[in-house]
Amino acid sequence: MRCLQTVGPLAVTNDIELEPTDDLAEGQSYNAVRLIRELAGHDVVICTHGDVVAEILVTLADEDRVDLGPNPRQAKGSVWALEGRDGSFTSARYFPPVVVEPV
Amino acid sequence: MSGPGSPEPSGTRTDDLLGLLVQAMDKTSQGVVVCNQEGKVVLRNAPARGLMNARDGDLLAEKAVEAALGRSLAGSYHEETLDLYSPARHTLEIRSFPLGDGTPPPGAVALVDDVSELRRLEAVRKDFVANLSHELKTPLGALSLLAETLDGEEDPEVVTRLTSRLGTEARRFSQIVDDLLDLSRIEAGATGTLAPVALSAVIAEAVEGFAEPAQARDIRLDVLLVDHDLYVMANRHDLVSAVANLVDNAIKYSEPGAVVHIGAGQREGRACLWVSDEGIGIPKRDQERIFERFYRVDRARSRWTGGTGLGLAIVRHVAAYHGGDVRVESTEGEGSTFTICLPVADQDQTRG
Repeated sequence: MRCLQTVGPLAVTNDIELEPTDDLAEGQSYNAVRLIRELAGHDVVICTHGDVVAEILVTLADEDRVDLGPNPRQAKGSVWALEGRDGSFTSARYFPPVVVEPV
Repeated sequence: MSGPGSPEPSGTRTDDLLGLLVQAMDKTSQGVVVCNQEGKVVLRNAPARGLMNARDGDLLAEKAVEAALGRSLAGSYHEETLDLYSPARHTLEIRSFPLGDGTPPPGAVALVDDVSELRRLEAVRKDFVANLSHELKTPLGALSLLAETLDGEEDPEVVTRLTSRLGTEARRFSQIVDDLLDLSRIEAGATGTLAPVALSAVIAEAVEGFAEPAQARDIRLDVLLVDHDLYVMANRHDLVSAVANLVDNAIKYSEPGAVVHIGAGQREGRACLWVSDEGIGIPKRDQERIFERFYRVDRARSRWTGGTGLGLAIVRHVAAYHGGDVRVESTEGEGSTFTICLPVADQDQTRG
């Protein structure tokens, strides 16, 4: 639910359909990694829970030797951009959460 | 015998001394080639003849040495590394110097070293450091990411799961460090005193801790001791750890309902211990490499099972320092058998 709320505005702005999946639910790390590998090379925005993000990143760092940098982070609302193709990944870049100042 | 620094032993003629020097140079491991002022090779010691006996790549080495001598006859020091791929891949380091003080010099010398083994060891070391950094960074990265996720999390279920994952990654890190220390101790030769140990006792101790995890996965441990009085000279702790490592792997790579066989007996005059599983097996191409440090057949599976990638390297080193070896026979889809074979202890040794 929280994930749908997070990416909902982005989907509306870009006229993209949202696809909920149980593979990205909390505690579904194994399925999440499998899904991410299937999507390697496609332009996709994925939103999931912190523990799943951590598991995906660590798996890619370990199995694909993706460099997460010296002190990997994942603050709430942050984004990791992953690049890859054919089921494996080559790079990962961290974008901290954007702080919107009230007008 | 003359003392050090004597220009010439009394009673030894210059020709005799020259002969002795040439013989001495033949005993060094370094190739030495000397040419006169005209560039004609006047001396080539035995290692130099071995390195350049005019076959395939050796001919290239000879040409390179001649060129180096030519440069040094012109008065300069020269150094180069030559990678040769035939008849076997090897690397030579060539250094040449002008001899004497004259201009032009009265001759030049080239020193040739076969640095192939040195280069191989350097590559192994660099590879190990790169692998080690990666292996340590992975659980540390996980700890960092999970800790940040935990920060501010209010859902107790998620907190429990994240805490459990933090514990797993911390244990993984600790296990890698422990295995590295073990490997380093064994490689450094700090293996302690060897004492007579019955293989039946080694197996009993190694299997003891696995009854519960095996039962939890519905895997039966079947111990078969062919010979109860089979002794080896061993560091009991290391040998038990090695066998336990093999049993642990066998359980992890077996499906529920399978049987893991553990046994000991004499084979071809040696004392052998074996651990056999009915698991997924190891592809042929990986079988030679599984004893290398940090080599994993399936990284994903290794992550889920909590392996450090060092267990089999430790087993190999333990077997080796006991004067034995470890072998694997495996068929994909049918299972694997790891066998450690060591020299049987003499009866005198077992009596203490």
